Amino acid sequence: MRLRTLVATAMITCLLPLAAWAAPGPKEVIQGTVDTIINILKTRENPDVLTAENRQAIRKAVEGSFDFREMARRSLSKGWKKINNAQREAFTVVFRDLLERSYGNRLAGFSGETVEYGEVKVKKKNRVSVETDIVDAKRRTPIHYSLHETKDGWRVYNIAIEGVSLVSTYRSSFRKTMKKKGFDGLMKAMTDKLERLKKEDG
Amino acid sequence: MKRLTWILVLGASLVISPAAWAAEKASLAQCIAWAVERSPVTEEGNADVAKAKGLLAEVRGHGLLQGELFGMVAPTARAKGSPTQALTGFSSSRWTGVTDWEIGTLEVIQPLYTFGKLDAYGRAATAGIEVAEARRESKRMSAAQMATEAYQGYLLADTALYITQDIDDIITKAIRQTENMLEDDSDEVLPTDLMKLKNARGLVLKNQYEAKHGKQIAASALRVLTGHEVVPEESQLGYIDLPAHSLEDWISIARSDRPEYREAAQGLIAKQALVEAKQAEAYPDIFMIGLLSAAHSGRDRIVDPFIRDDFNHFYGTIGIGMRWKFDLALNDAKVAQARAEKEAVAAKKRYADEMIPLQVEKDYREMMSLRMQTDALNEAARAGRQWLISAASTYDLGVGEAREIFEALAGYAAAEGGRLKALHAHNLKAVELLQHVGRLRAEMLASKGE
Repeated sequence: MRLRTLVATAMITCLLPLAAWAAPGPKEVIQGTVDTIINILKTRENPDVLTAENRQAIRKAVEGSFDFREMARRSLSKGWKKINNAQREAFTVVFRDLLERSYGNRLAGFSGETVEYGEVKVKKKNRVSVETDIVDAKRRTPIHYSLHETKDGWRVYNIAIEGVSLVSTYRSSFRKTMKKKGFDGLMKAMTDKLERLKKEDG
Repeated sequence: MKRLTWILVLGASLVISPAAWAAEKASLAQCIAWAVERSPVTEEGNADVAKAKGLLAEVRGHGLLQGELFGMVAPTARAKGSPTQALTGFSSSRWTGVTDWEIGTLEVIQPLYTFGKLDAYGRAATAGIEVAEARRESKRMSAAQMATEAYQGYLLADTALYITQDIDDIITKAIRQTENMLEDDSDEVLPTDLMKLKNARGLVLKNQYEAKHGKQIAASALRVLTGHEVVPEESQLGYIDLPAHSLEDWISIARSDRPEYREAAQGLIAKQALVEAKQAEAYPDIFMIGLLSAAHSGRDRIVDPFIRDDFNHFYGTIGIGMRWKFDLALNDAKVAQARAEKEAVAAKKRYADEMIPLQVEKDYREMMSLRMQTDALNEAARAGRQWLISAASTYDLGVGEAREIFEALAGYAAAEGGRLKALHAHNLKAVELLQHVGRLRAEMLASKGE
């Protein structure tokens, strides 16, 4: 009996780390996503153009690692509480599409830069920051990803580029726009922008 | 069309800069070493040192055994008999044809006492070597300074080119987006926004062309100065960091290492020695002399102790001699000239004693000021870049204003341009400081990226 208990305990102890390995940590989430995107960019046919297929592949890579709803909630801040669930859903979709579209266009200019992965800093319980640097011949651009642990694993809820928090930046702009034009005005401005980007991308 | 453009661009690159393909990366230390080695001023300095050493050897030679050997072979009339018979008229002496005549004389002198002339000239020549070496060191540092300027100039132009291309990319995209928005009658942009962006792009392009031009000139200068097809190994302009000495330390270093100090001090010694040498010229030289003479011919030998036979003899002697040239008034004038030359060097040394510390202080304070300016502009450029990222991010989401991007771009470009200029000026000032303290050598320079 005692022996069987010991064996069972040992087996459970051995299995626990395996379970931990099974769910990717925050750094692995970022590394996996970034590497996938870089691979898509490197293997595309025309290095100056991002095709619809490329965009779809990038979207697929990002979806599994970004918590767009949380990003949208944090960006809207107090405004999030003032809108209903349907509006929140609509806002999250436009917000996500805009981010994907505009940053996809920026990624189109990728020309062989490398990404260096730094420390993972614990901010609070279930919240960490993964530090990365995009390095080319002359510049090192620090990009820090903030992640929180969800039931689906670690997900990004903010990005800081060269010390500029995107969520903080969006928050102040959204607040200003909502103050002037209300939530509908904000949605219209974002939707117009999305339509324009779609038109530009053909 | 696109393919044609690529072919044109590739072709133009090959025509414009064939050297760029062969250029190797080299460190600043390596470039300085090459530049110093091949510089004509270094060769000139080496020749001056060799000349000064030759002068010392000459002075030393004057104190050693000196001699003169004379030899001659010539035909002469053959004569039989003796000169006594020839004078009295009964002689049987007569010309009997032509014979050979060989004569040789050797005169050797060993100076014994020169009243200090040789010693004074020797001291002057020894100090002269030090002066020539100090001048050569100054010339080497001038060559090193030119190579450093070319190297730093290349890095400045290359970094400026990268930044202007980066800014141009952003402006070009902003112009395209603004044009689209104006076509769509968007309320978010004004026609003047487009004008502002195009105006800004023109200014950026102007700087970009300037940077391209500067890069080509700097590359040519590096090639000519080093004799190699090289480009700097660093990818961007960074600080030249000098050891963290205080101003007093730098002045002390200048006093011990600056070649001009050594040149003035040794020049003074040389001139003082020359004054003493000219004073000693008023006195004679005492020497030991040895003479040896031999002659042979087909003529009969004259055997008479009162008559020297130039055609047949052998004799030698050793004695003590003296040579004294009386030109006292002339010598006084030469002494006065030497004294005046010494005073001129002394005045130069006094000037150097006062001015070099001032020059070092000026370099040091300007370098420190430029360092602080660069640090401040680093912060400004970083903030400008953050401003640009922030403005672009909100603009991407449709809630930002185009004019905010324009303002951020202008702020970033001004700060980044100022930062590069200040950083470059700092580095040149650091090199000038090293040169002015006499330590502009490759190992003193360490450039690092930011």
